Amino acid sequence: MILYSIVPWEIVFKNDDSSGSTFLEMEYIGEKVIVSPTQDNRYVINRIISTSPKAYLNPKLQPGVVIDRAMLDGRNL
Amino acid sequence: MQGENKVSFGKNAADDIGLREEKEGSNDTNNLKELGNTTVSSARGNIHCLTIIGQIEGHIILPPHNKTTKYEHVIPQLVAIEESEEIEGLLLVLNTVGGDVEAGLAIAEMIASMSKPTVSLVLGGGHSIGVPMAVATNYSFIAPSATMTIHPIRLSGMIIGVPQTYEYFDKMQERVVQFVAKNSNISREDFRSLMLKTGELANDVGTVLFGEEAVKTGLINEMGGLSQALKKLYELISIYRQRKRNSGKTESGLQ
Repeated sequence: MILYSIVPWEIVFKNDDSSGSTFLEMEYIGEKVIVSPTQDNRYVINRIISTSPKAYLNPKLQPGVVIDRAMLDGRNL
Repeated sequence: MQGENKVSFGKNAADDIGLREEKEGSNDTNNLKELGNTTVSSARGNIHCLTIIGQIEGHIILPPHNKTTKYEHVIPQLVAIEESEEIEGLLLVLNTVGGDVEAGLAIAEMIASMSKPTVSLVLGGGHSIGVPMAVATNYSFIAPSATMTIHPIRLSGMIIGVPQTYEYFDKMQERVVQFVAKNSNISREDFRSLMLKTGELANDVGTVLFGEEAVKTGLINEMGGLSQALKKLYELISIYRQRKRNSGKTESGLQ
């Protein structure tokens, strides 16, 4: 891999285990979202991955929205 | 007082737009009012927006502290946009520090080979491999405060001190240079000289271009922001529609 970036290699690949949170990629109401699991077995939306401007206006897809496991279209892609 | 004036102006402007859309009598306006949802399909066109942020991630998954744009997310989205009946144009919004050469070039080539109208807007920064991505669209914009860093590909990892090492990196660099020269108004020689300029970057070779300079060098088409970019995209969409209609006519005429 050739990195062509203004960020130095050492910073990009620095070993940093302090950020304990894990992110999972999932499908939710037809859109791809990045979620992080909560303690009560649910997920919080962290980021939406979509090119559709509509998806970003959908209140159900806003970052911070908590979703139930049963609501997810696909498990941990 | 000034603030109040501004607010009332804004409200009037919004009313104007509201009135105009109501006259056109679309259901979309009602949907927007009642449900807060918008189909961005107007008479002007239906666009999708792809945001490129952080590091461009390719063959290696980067450590979690990096914010990344992933190759495997972007490529299928581009295919879907090109294939979709409804989507008519793509707005590419860039704020990237660069990343994987191969992934960046792959995304750039995909965008450059799309048949649908594409417009890019560089905000904040479009550095390193972000440069070929920014020029890959039909038309490019840069915000006045945005910067683009053009520098040589750096050597990293285990390096053998032989001339071939240099030649190899020069070859890799040439892929970027060629793509940029082909897809923008800057010449190969000019881009290379920006890449190898000294005295601009601390501890490094290369150039930082501000919005205006990026336009002057021919790398980017125009300075502007969101409204200019969208206006241009809709303009390209109307040309695209016309061309499609015309080609449809000739096809049916042949049969």
